[in-house]
Amino acid sequence: MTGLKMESGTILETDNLCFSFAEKGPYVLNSVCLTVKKGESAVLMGPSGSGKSTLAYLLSGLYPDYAGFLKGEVLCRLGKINDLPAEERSRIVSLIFQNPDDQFAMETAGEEVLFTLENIAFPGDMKKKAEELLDVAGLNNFFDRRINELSGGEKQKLSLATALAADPELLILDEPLANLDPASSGQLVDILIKLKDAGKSFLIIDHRLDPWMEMLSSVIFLDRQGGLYPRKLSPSEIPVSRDIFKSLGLFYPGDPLWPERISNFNNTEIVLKADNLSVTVKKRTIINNIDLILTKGSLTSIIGHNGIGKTTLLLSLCGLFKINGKLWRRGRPGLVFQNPGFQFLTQNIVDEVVMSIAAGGTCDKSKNAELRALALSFLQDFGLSNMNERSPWQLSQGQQRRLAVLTMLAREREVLFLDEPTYAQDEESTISIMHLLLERVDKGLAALFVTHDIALARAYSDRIFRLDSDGLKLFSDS
Amino acid sequence: MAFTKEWRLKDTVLIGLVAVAFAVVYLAAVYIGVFISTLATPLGLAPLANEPICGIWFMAATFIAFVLRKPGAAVITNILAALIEVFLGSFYGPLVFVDGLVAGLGAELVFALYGYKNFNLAVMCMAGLASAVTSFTWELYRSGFIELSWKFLIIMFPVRCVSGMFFAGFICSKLGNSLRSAGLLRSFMGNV
Amino acid sequence: MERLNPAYKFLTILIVGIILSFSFNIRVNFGVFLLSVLMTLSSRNLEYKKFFFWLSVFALCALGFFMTGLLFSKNIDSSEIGNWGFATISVSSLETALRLSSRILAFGSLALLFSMTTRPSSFFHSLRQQFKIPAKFTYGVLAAYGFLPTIKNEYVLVRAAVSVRGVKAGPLSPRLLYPMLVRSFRRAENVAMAMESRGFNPKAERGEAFPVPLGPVDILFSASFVAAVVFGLIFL
Repeated sequence: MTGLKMESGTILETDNLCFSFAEKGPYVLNSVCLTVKKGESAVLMGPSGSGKSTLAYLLSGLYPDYAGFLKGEVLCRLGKINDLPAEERSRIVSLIFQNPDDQFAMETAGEEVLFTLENIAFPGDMKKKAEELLDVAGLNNFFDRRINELSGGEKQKLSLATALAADPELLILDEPLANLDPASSGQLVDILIKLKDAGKSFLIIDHRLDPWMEMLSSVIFLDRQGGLYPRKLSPSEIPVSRDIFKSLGLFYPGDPLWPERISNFNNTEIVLKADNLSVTVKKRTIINNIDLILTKGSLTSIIGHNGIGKTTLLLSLCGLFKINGKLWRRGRPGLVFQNPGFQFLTQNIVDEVVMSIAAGGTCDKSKNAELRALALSFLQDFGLSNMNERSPWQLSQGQQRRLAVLTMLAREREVLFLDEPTYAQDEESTISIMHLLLERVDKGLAALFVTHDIALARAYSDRIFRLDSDGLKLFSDS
Repeated sequence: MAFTKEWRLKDTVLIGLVAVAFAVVYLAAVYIGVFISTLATPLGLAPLANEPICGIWFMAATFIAFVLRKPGAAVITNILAALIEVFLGSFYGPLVFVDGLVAGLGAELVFALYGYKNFNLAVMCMAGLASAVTSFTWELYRSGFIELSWKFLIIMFPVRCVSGMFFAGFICSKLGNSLRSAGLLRSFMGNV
Repeated sequence: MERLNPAYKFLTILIVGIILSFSFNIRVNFGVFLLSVLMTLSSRNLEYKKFFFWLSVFALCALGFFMTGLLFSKNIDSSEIGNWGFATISVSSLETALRLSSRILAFGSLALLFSMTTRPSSFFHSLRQQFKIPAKFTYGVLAAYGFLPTIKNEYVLVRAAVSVRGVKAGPLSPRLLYPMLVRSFRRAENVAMAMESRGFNPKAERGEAFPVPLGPVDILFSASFVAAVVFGLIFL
């Protein structure tokens, strides 16, 4: 295929790309022929599991080096992308990852940008250049800030700055807004628009088109079989293409993000009551003056910016931290962690559920078959029935979270807490989790979730609180 | 994505992360160790207090060797883990570099004897034991154990050996095997 | 101290430590202890609280070794000077006790001299520049080290998560290690891919954004520290 001539103005070109994760496994991507041109800013859409991220990793030359088996190849003007050494590849294409936490190698923001400049052997004053790049990404005066203290939005901006350091022709962003609040999302999009005007090309993976309308030049679709939709859609064709979006199960621009929820928040039976609660860890008061009442059948959310202590509050309400003040609860509350993987205890999802049902009670052998049957029916309810004997660790992020919720709800419970239930998930998984939750709430569960996503809180909860350093306050829309 | 003897970037990052993870767990144990050894001080048994958890130091090496199955993995991991420990408040500071080297060599020797092909429970335990033996020999000098009465050493040495076999052998083998059966090691082990 | 070249400082302390390992001179041990403490105290931006905390931990441990040496020394002669419970204390066992404990103090203070005055990242950069340790290793480990606060936090969370499930797990339980290791695999892969996507190629010619200087002062420090210890061993 090396004889293939590239048209000028083409950055990347693929030729019948087929990709699978196991040697003889099913193809995740099927005969993908894609061309990315200079100046283009395309959005790549497709249902969950259609291989969008996989395609991004292939186009960036990371797969099949890191995983999987590839037929066909990705070409750029210098040849096959896989054959290029990393420092040359980063000048053609750079990938910004979905998970903002696992993409840095240094201690401070400035060092991280310097790291890329080192990689490409930048000839000028590196420190000055790094400061410029941070400014471009909207991170003025962040040079000495420690990366592990940055918010999700700041991390994504930093990631952008490091990618720009190599001055790549194409930037690929994998769901860059997935873990950002609306304000940070808006800022990031504005920066990208400026970069586009300055001549950069983009390939953006997202479930939604709305945030990108202003900079969009085309839309690319992947279907459930990992095949590419025959042609790109131009912005002018979007108004007449609603059926394409619907047939692939995608959000059509302008459609409401979340379904309207009719609140039936009228039960007054109290299941949790906190009075003037405060938490002190290592002589620092993290949580102050919390007054909270949860009633049966209610869905409450707490918002607040990173590091304000949302997780600590949940752990305290569960009784896992020493508290000052009064706390009364009915029964043991459940808690679903931001990283659901932390709470699995067995090597098999059925055992995992059996264990939850049996926890507390004595588990005699005669009842084992009964418990398993019950566990299987629970798994079915949660859409996990066809992966019976798998290890919890082999499930996808969305499935892991559903399993974590299930382990908490397999036994009768009055109160359930969820820490960032949308973290590192696509929207389909988010919706499925929220619906499972609503079903239980309608049956009387009192649920409380913390999130940075105000839109999500608004769509689903009966009440929203805002956590500040001086306590918990009812949050009103105005 | 074929199995390779060469060190890839993700291998070295993994070594660091595993070392940090074990170190964090170890730090929790250190407090217990300090507490026990304080209690044991009037009896003159303080150095014994750390022996039962001594095997934790060898865990990173045998565990990584299990995962990566490369020559040098045990030694390199133990050295790098030691470098990280220097900053986590280790007693011996830069000297732990030698500790890491010596203990790592013990385990490495066992894995090499089996051609880096066999990592079953027995081999893992032997590796843990070998680390205990080499590290004890070095500590005879470094900690001056050589000046102590043989009665003391005859208790100390077996405790360390059992600790090495338990933590670096049994626990690491158990962890490794269950990670492997869940398919989580595939991209590091290749098709082994 | 904080401006010395980290790699050379490391090497110097390592050599001093090895020399002390094979010698049993009480005066030299105490000398090294005093010298190291003074040198550490003379450096700027010292975290005093942390320093004295670790110093007292080492002192405690030295006391532990002192008692062990006193009671379980292999050299027992007839010069009995007292009793402690079941054991007889002689002049030679007292000497053993002092040798063991002074050595712990010497090692502990050397460790602090290094770790309190050296930034981890500049140490790794220095290893790469002065000792030619491959970038693949230094940057790989440096990246991992950056996750220390995150991993510490995760350990607390995993313990909490397990107890929410109604299961008791001790601080060293494999149940806690397992999820942390799973996280390590995924993270190692993600971080490595991110580094590569930013153009990291260990084999390529790279720029140097983190130069760690090496000057005559470093050589002077290394030479004089080692020489002082050697002289001490001969003449004290």
